[in-house]
Amino acid sequence: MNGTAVLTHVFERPLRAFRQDPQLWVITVVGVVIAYLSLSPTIMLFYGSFLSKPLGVPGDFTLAHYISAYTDPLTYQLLFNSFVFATGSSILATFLAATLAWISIRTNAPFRKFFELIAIVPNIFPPVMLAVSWTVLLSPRTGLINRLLMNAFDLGTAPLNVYSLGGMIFVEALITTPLAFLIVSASLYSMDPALEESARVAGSSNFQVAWRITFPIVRPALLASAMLNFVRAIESFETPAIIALPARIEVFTTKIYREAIGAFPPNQNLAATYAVSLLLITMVFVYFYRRLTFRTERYVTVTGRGYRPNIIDLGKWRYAASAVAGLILLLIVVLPFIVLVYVSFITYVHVPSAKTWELLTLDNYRSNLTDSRTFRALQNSLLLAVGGATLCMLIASVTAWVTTKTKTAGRGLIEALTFIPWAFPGTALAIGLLWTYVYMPLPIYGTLWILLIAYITRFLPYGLRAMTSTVVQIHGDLPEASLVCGAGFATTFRRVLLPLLRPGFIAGWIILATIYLREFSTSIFLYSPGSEPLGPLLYHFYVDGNLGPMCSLALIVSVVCITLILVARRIGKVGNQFEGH
Amino acid sequence: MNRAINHWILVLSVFATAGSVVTGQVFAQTVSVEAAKQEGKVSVYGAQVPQAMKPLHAAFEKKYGITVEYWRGDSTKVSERALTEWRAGKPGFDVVEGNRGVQLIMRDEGLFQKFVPPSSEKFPAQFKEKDGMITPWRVLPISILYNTDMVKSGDLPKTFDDLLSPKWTGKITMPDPTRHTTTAQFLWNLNKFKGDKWLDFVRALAKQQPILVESLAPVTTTIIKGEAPVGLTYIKYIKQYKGPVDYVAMDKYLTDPNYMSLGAKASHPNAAKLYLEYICSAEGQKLVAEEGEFVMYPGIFPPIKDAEKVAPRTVFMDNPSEEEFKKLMTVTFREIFFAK
Repeated sequence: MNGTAVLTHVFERPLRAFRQDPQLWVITVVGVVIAYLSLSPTIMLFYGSFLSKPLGVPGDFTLAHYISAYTDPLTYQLLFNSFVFATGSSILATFLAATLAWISIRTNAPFRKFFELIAIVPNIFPPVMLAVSWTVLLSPRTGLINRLLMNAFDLGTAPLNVYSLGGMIFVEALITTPLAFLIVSASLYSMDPALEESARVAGSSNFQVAWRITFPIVRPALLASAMLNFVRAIESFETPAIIALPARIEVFTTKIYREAIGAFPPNQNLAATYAVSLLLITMVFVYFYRRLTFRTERYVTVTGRGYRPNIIDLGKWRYAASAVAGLILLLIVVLPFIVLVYVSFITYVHVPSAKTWELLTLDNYRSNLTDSRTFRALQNSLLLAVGGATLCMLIASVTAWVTTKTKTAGRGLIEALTFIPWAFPGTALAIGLLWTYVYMPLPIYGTLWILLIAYITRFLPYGLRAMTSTVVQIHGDLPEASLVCGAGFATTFRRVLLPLLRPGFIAGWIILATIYLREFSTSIFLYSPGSEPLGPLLYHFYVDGNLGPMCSLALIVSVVCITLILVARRIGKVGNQFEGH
Repeated sequence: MNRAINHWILVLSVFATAGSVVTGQVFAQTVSVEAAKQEGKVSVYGAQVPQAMKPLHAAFEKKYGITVEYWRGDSTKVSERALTEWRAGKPGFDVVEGNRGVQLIMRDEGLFQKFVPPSSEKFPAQFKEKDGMITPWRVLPISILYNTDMVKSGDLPKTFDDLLSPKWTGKITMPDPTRHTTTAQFLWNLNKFKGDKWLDFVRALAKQQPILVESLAPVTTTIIKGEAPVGLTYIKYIKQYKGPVDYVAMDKYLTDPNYMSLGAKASHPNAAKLYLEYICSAEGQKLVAEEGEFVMYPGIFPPIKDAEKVAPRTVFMDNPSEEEFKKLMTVTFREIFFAK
């Protein structure tokens, strides 16, 4: 037998399998794409952490970076800081979110529907901006709230200081409360009211019902929210970049930033070493989170019917409940928004006084609207948001279909691979991608492509979650009918599945596009001058001390974000009407 | 027609200046405007804040129709990005701007090619580089800046030593010297005034619990906002940021010249040369000076009070070697400023 014949023989069986089952092609392609997206940065991150020479220079295997990292007492300090920061902020965020969710969903407090709507507004604000507005409010000498308190109580020194671990916990908690709110409110909506009713019939008061029945039932959701927010906080670079760096508090992400970009000369190997440690930590937490939510999700799908939880009458306490919800919303939305608007219209930041009238200006808007750098960043981010979200949702649709509706052998592997992006912290992913694409001969490093790859990889799980819940509800008959009638997988996917999946697709698309438009922690490591998106530009405005232009741009971004959402919803709706005809 | 004349004037002036240079000096090189225009754009990495480059870039773009892609980071980040891209074989820059320390490091790694802009021949002799690899274009005198609403003239610190008084504890802002090269270099160069005692001064300064910021630019806004009434940064920022801020007049100012260099593998070499030449020309230097910069061209000053008195009092900073820089930033200053 000659060589060619051997090869033909070896490949004959798999080739035949592919010919007989065209789905196998799709599954293989999806598998390869996901394997590539999740494994290449992981492998290269490890490679970088064990390499003796800097990025781009050939070197040998070494353990020196790990030894230097773990013999440095500062590492244990930052480990401690990171855990305190993440634990504190996740508990506080979950507490605020649970309170807000309970009041706005389960009680008869006035304005509750309005509260529910306002709670998700921060999702359109650029994340660095929220942290910046809190520094304007709570900075020790000039913070507006501090000045107010000092004047009111005749204090000699500022009572609050945002540049502290407590300040970081507070700000991060406020930033992540909307996310926790979504998780907790979903579980409050889907809970079975029968138990509460029994308790009430048995003579329990409202408070007793809430504490003894409602709380234990939503406990898994609270735990899930706390865990997710823990991961979100430990990998967050927004709040640390604005608060921890000036406060000289070292956490994982500031350390990675300091070594990769801030140090002189930079040490990307050491950055990779710290990123590996961070990745391992988040992997453990995401693993437990997934186990936890997997069980609750299964529970919901087994017994979930359309419950309508009953509304609790709080009597005269309902006004107090509204006041509490209002206060929480004041902290997470209203105050930062007021600061944003105020700073965007003044020449320089100062405590509002008579001279404020003289310092009112439109210059910040004018400079942004006429600046080619802002314009290019807006263009880049819009391109990434629209293109990236579409691509990511396409990959997510096919993946969700393959993992939930087919019985192919490889689907378990694909599902397992999607775990990596789930756990990958933005900063660590960026360092991994840097190591990957510096060596690749394709023109990806230093272009928009590296950002696109980063965005798709990091946020694929968001798309998957939106698609999986939609795919589960679709009956297998329709696509089967299409396949039986002779349509290929591609045609079936496009003509039958995509229209059915549209609601989930649009919902996922909106989430992704709004995240991409404002992304910061990954972009800051990966962008280059021509491909600068909005997140890093906002941060540069901040570090250069241009708060006015920063805030005016943040408002412009928020408006663009709302426009994107409205357009996407419109497209979703037009499709539905079309179907109706 | 007009353009053609301009073109010829430029070429002629190049030869004229080149011819007048004494043998042994580096000769200025020609710049082809047409080739530059064909390239259409130039990518510049620089430490200068973007708002101060805007009028210059607008004028350059208008005059030649060449787009300037400008990326700003502090000198440290500029050099880091340029070095990483260079090592990876993917340099995205045509021109790199930055302080002397990092420019020399980049030069030694081979990032630049020789180019002497014809107009730079008019610059004072002491700034000219023998090898013609890096071109000075501005100097950056450092002083104490203060918030004019918060500090009365009688209370002003007049020297750096005055900052060690207890009344300034927690009220000083400066860049983090473990992250910012120019600040590390500045502190190290205080030995010019204090001899061996410079490190004692740095320790005492750290004890004053200064608010550490990213680079020299945000020092100014920290002062304007009143978070810290005084700070260490460049004098020019009083022109580049709006607000109640002024500088303290001193006997001597530690100063660092900043340089522009042509990338060895620039993808737009002609546009880059034209850009460098434009910045060194009287027209370009004037536009830069109007934004508050102390420039090289004789007789051009920024619109800052007593600017002409600052220039003769400048003392040039020396440059630590790469090893010294590393030791200062990752060991010495980390221990002093981040001791728990």
